[in-house]
Amino acid sequence: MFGELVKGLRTTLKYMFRQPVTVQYPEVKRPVRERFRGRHELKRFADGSERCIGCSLCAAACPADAILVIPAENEPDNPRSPGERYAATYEINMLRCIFCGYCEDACPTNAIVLEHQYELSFYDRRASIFTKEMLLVPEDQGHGEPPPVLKQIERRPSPPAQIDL
Amino acid sequence: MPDVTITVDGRSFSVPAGTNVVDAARMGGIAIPVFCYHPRMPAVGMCRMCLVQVGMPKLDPATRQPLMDAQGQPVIALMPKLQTGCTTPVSEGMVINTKTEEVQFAQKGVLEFLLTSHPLDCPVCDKGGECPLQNLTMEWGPGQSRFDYNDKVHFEKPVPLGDLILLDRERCILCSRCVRFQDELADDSVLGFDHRGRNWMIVSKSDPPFASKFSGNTTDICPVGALTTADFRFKARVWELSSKPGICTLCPVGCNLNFDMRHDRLMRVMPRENGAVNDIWLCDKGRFGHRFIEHESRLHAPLIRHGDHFVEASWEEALTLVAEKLAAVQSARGGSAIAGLAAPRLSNEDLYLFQRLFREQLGSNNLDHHLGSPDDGDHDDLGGLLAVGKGTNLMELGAGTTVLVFGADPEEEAPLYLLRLRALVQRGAQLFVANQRATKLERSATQALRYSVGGELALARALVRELLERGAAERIKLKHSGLDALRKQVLAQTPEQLAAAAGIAHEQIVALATALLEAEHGLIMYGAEARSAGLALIETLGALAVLSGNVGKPNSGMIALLPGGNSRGALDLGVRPDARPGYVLMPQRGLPAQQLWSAARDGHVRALWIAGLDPAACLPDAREALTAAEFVVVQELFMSETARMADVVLPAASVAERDGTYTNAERRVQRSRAARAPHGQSRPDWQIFQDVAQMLADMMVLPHPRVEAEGAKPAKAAKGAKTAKGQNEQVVTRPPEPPRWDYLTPDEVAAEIAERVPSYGGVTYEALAATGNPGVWGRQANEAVFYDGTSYENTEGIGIALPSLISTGRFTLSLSPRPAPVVKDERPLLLLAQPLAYGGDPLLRGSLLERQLAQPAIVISQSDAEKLNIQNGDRVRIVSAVGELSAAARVHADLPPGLVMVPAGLPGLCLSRIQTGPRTRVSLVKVVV
Amino acid sequence: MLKTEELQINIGPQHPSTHGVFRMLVTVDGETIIDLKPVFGYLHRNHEQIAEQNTYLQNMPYTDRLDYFNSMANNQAYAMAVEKLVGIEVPERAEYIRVLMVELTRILNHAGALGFLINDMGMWQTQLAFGMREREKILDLFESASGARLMCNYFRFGGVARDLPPDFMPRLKDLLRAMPAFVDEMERLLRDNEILMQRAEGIGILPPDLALAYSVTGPVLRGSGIAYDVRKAEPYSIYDRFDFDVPIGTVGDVYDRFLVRVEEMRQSKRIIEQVLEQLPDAQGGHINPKARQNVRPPVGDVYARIESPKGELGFYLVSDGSTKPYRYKIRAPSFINLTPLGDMCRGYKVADVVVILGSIDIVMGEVDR
Repeated sequence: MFGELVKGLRTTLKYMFRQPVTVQYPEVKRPVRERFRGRHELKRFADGSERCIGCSLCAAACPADAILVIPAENEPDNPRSPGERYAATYEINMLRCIFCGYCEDACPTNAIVLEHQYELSFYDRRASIFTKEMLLVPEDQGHGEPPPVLKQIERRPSPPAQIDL
Repeated sequence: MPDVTITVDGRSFSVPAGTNVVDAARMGGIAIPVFCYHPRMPAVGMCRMCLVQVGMPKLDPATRQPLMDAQGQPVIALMPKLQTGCTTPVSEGMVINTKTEEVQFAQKGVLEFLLTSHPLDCPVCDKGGECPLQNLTMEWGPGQSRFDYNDKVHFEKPVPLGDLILLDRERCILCSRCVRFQDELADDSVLGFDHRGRNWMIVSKSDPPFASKFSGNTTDICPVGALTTADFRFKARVWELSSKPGICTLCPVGCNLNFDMRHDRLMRVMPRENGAVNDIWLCDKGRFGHRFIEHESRLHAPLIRHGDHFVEASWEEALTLVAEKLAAVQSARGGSAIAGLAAPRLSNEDLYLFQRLFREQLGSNNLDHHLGSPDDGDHDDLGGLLAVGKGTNLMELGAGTTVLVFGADPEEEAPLYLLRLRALVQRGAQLFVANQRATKLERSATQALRYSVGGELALARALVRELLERGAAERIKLKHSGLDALRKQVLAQTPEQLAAAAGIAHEQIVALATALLEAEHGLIMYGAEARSAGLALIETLGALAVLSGNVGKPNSGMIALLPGGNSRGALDLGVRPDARPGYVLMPQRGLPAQQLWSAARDGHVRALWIAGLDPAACLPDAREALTAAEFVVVQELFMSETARMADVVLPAASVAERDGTYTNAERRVQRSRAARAPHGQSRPDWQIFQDVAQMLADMMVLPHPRVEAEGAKPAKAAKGAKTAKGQNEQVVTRPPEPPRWDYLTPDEVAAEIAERVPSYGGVTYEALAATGNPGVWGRQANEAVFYDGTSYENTEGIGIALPSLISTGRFTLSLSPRPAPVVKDERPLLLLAQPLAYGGDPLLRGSLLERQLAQPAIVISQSDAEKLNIQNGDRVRIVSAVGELSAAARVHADLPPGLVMVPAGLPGLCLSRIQTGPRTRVSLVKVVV
Repeated sequence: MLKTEELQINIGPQHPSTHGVFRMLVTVDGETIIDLKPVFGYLHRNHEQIAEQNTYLQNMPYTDRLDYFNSMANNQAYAMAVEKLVGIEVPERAEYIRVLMVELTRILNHAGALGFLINDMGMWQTQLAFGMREREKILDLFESASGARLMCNYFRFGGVARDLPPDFMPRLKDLLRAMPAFVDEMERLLRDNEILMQRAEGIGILPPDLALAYSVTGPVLRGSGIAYDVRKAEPYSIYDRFDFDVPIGTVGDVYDRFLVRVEEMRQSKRIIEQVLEQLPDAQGGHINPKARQNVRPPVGDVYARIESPKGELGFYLVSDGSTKPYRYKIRAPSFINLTPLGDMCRGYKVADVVVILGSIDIVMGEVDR
């Protein structure tokens, strides 16, 4: 009986000098893994133009119908994104979003990326709609992975075909 | 054609001889991929996508019999190279392989080649999601390309081909579908190829660019995203759209279309396949002209006049005011002091309830669907009496059919008929186009008859005379009267006299009469120019149809091109002063629109209800009348000129915001469904009529006793007609109690129409939905190959074609002739108000077509111009007995002398100021500045 | 004999021990249960109907939310059904990753389930905290591989979404090294524990014939002494390559179910060790590169089933040839295992109901769908 007690207290004593497992959230934030799927960000190209071309494929892939994209035509002199089209409206309803990451998979320009921010609570249901201004990264940062098509472009052009005369 | 048996991929089945391999395989449920081939156009074999292996049974040179192998199977000799399926007709015993390694290698190769010069910008392409190139690449294409991405050709994009259509040269695969559509189907050769090699591209050859009323269809049939409409550009992705089936009310064809909505916003309009009406096409007016639905200037709340301005009111207030005022006028001065006009674009339900409200609740017969302008003309009953028979389907017609288009310009009045009639000719039908001037349809005609100005009646009589001489009268099977009078009249003149009066060679008249007489199916289509010649001409045309035996049976009869989308419905459902629904004539007539304005000005008519028409825009008489009237209700989509003069303005729901049925020129009733919630507080027209009627009923306003008594008598049919008057032989017993005003939905109104209007029997919403049979309408298992991105499949029913009234046996045809109208005016020129598709239709507001609206102009012939020394662009004044107008002159080489053509309905050029009737004689003066 | 009166009482739908919104309509005579009717449907979310409006791939994250303890297992069952319907091959390496994930899921499920069971018995929180601590370590692995801890959405048709991250294996090995100590410690602490014995032994007996009649599966069935495990009965994926035992109970009471689960954790660890040995040699990548995610299966129907930690989880799909399932039906083990609850509770005391329910191990997300 006494032995048991000592055994128990020894365990207590052992853990007294160890680092506690508990994370003191919110003062201390638990780091997330690299692949963590958190709040979305709309990335930019290195020249500051928007990656998003307003193609709505993310909205099509979304199982929860959380994304609304209304596209528009770029002004030729002052384009917001490369190409003819950009997203005039880009909204994500964070109450509907299930963070499955399909929008990321669907994006042809790697514009939308699920980043590591996970503190997404709000007091008002209307605040759950994240607009394009909230999602878009500042112009000078957050350039994501180049899209697969553009990776190919960076390759040197192949030499012209040889013709035997 | 005889059937031949072919074997496709090991499956044997029979197809008609002469079918090409692509279509034949499709009949067996096997898809052969195509790009350039389209089932509605002749094959050209440009894209090489349909390469298949074709083999024929080997013949014994001696006996010409198929050689048999050891198993008794015919020996097949495969052709050494792959063949293009679209250009190879099938023959007996043909063996076609579509899935061999060789074929697959070729298909992959073709697709890989096509994709080398394709930008692969699917994410931003409007075609993405309904793109045949995408579909075919997924199904038949290679997974990988050997082509270096950096070697792709890039062009500046997009290039506008016209106001409406944009070309992306990078995406174009040069299949020439658009070029061939314009050349062969639309008869507007405005597109062509330019440059060579990698720079080979589509260009517009016309000025203004891409001048065609069917340009939108090229974006449908484009198998890639090369042609896109400016209307839908980057608006939405196609998979986000929800398609709501509707009916186009902008012209009497009644094309089936789909409103493609995203979140209650109209994104685009697409055709819905209906072989009997619009096939898979839609004209630009229907496709682009529906932007009025969400135009910012739509009325959104009821307005009540307070002094010289309007104040928004609740429906309750507005409707109570309307009911009280009408009740007051009714009790003080009787129902004849109230008049109503309803636009011929309203639905059958609206029109039916409108006339019920007036006849039963207000005791008024002052009803019309005309504007009340001098050139209104008479109500066209013959187009209903001798309408094409039940079961008419233009898709089925070809060889053996004769079509006479008389005094009509289908391209402007009912654009889609141009495509349909051209297709008929291509299938072997004979098309005769009779007009006093050149129209576009003439180019497609088997024979064009250009009658002299004012010679139309002579031509019609000459034709009738020819038929009578050939003993056609003996073959009339219908109940008729007045044949002797007709005979006497036409035989009074010799054929030569008549031919000379018509200005047409006698042989041509004989040829046309023969064609009509010998035709298995005969159609006579007439339009505004024929109607302006008065009932004498129309009734002679009716006699022509009767004598040639082309009435009362399917695919034969008369097609009247009336203004508005539902004029036929308005006539059928009694929105006219002289007849109840079903052409039941009433002895006590109300005022037609033309007499309304003077009656109102003189104080005989005190209250007016105008639904959807805008007489004040162009009729000075109407403005005076509206000012004089005690109380004016206007029910409109927009704040029109008339609405500005109203006491109460009621916002109505547009065609896309309510359910309803519409009757087209061929008397086919079709259903349109609500695509979005009504704009603002607007309400469907039928609901407004019903609400007011309900209030009036509660106020115990009893119908005028005299009007009530008339209805009980058996009435005569067909308005005032002497020559082709129908006689109603069935005693119409009026139900003891009129139905109550408690319809919840329009289908209850439709059910009542079906019950109470004889020729609409059975046209309920259930029946309309049940007539759909998608399998028959060209759709097949492999529709994505042919139809993706094109018209939508029809799952809504193809409409119900009403029987022609004459075939119901309740009417007797009167053939007694009527004298030619006499115009006592010595002025040298005849004024022709030319109806235009892009005329002053207020419904085109907000659309891209606004840029193409006709400019005010006075079009005169070359010889008249020379005579009067007028040059193109000179300012000229046109003077009639009642007034004058001035505008820039345009000299038209093809116009016959003696004719002045002015676009009708333009807000800047009010023809009604100078018109004296349907036909106005005018003189021209050059204005020297 | 004292004359007593029957009394009907409701336990739930809001009750701390009902593991979700679940209601039991209990007829008691004093403390003795005369009858018990399980009533569910409070968490119905139209899952199957929603799935018929979604494309096949879009349903994958929805399956996560069925039994949210075992998202990986749900993913696997659904992916298998679609792969069978379309005819997609899964590369060997992907199969190993899948088995690895599902077996880890089984461990974390049982660790949690036993924690809750002990919790229900009144040994407040201690064991639950231990179980949750182990579960946390596995969830961390899941997060590093899939990007989410619970709603992993890791499987794709023809494989898994992404290959294992580089630091996954070392951390898994650490985990496996520590694992026996945890299981042993738990068994040592609980197996002969007075409280547990009192509350579990001879309680909630489900006789084998009744278990079969109710088509009960999983640890509940094996607790009743029937050695049925889909992994053995109809080996799917690559389970025929692994050497593992199926533990069974003898009496069929709560105690047996407890023991079966403890042993299953050990067997899962055995499988994972074999996976670790064979994985480096496995052929193919983490996903079949030819597999299209936006599938359009041919017309037909398919049933695919796996041994999920809670029992046989099956997906029945009917395809009409479009991109969306025409019919989508789930055979949810929690739901079917719950049906004999009335028979298991009859004759026991009210306090036992909670323990018996805990021993079935249900997740209401899967019961109601």
